[in-house]
Amino acid sequence: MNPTETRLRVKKLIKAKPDRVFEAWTRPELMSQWYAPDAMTVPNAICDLRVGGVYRIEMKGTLIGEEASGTVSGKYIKIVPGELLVFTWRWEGDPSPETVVTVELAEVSGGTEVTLTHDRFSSAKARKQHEYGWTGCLENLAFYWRKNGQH
Amino acid sequence: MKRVSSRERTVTELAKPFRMSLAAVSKHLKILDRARLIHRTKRGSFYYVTLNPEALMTAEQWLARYQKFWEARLDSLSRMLEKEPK
Repeated sequence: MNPTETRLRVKKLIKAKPDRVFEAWTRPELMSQWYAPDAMTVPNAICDLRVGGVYRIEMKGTLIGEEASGTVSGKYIKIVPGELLVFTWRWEGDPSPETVVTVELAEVSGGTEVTLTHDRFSSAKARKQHEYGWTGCLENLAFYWRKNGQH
Repeated sequence: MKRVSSRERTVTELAKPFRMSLAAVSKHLKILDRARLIHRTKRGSFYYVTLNPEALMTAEQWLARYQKFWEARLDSLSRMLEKEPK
């Protein structure tokens, strides 16, 4: 791993099909049911599921006994329904550079293995993210191209 | 949280709009500090409180914060999906 990059990886087996797990990540009415931590709720979630499309999740309530609110938002970099979702991540009001979340779904016996990777880049690396985003766009375009070509 | 996001404030300033004693507010702030959501510095006899932007976090702090966050989110996601009829 690049020393200027911090990578977090969390895995979890979920007893549901990959398509349902993917929906839970990408449909606002489902996202609002599990995204907020502690005793917080999601009063508003939007999700424009296309490469370059924006998602935005507002969270409100109490966190460790304190009145709290926060909004996280970002753009989709890669979308493969039922398999992969890559998006940027930033808390609104926090001047820190955006980070990138990758959600991989693999069908296993008993459900879906979710592998979540959260990458934090140094500022030099953050600038390269645009490049990364564009590569993602092109790969995705190629994916849909192939898919459409099959029809 | 909202009150510390714009600039550095003293504990007295933060406590003003709440019907809480200074001691109670300090206790809450101590919890937020432990969770690394805020940063407290003591200057003279005052504690100053600032929001801890992610950019200022060390790799360890950042990892600890998101490890907790995502593990809890995935547990919550799992509870939601396993509760639904198949």
